[in-house]
Amino acid sequence: MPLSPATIPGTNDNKVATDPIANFISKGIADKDTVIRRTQYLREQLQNGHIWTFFGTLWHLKPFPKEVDFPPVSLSAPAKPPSDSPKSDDRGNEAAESKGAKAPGQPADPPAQPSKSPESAAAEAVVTKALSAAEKKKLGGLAGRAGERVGDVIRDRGGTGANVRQAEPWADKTLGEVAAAAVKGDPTAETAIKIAKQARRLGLRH
Amino acid sequence: MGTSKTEIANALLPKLSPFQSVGDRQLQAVNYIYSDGSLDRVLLDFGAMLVLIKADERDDTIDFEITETVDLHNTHVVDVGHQEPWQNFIGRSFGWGWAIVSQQGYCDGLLLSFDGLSPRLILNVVASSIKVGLIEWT
Repeated sequence: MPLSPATIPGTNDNKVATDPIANFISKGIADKDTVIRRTQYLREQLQNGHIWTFFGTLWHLKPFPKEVDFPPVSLSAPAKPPSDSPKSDDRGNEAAESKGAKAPGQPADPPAQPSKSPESAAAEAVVTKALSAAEKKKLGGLAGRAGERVGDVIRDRGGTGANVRQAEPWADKTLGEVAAAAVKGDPTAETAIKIAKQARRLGLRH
Repeated sequence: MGTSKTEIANALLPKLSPFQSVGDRQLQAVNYIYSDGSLDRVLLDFGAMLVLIKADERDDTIDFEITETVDLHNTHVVDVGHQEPWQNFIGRSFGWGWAIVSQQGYCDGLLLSFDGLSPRLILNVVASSIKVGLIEWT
């Protein structure tokens, strides 16, 4: 079946045809990301000629797939970016150095921060995009976490309260902010980045 | 020798073997190689042998190897053989090398000696950059 220009993503006709969809399905949904995902899903249905799926979903006769509906799985329980994955920087010790792992005798740290909200995750994505090449280089495997506070990242990676204090005065700043200072030559910022990178102790066995 | 000492020696043997290969060759030139503003490689020229010291940006560890070629794509290279602290060691024979392991378990530094066995230079990776320091003995 030949498709009309309105079904082809990127065209003006498509934009005119699908923009009202975003307004329609946003009713009662505070989360902008969900609206964007739903709109994209419906556009894809149009693009692929799945007219009945398109109208059925639009008129709530057919549910949205779980991956595009609220709450988004990837945002309520954010996965670590590939660059910070066990394979990339932990060299096979991830099981031992799992989140919050502690050596015997280490003092207890404050509980980990709650999962990030969709809004904060979106903000982190914006911060990550804004990093310069030099800032990304400084952060290395942590570039994907540029929007997170240094102290949180250190604790998340198994660091101690002492590690967090050693990262002062940057512990309450985001990694992105610290990277910017490091690029300008601030040695304390560089130290804070190193502490975050090496917060997870290699070789721990539990 | 205690078991732990043997384990440490066995674990570090592959890491330290490039130092053995250098022997007592004389240092002829030193180049800093910058990527995205960070000093992430140091090239030590021992004439017939090049030693490439590299910072691993993922975890701020250090690595080094004997090499014949170096990829200089998208890099900025600076000859620092006439600058401090390297100018003190150009023409000197390599002595020993040490690998430094942080309390966190990461090998993130090296010690180098020339014309003897007392460490004279320290190289340590911080925020994806190799920092070079001179060791003064009193």
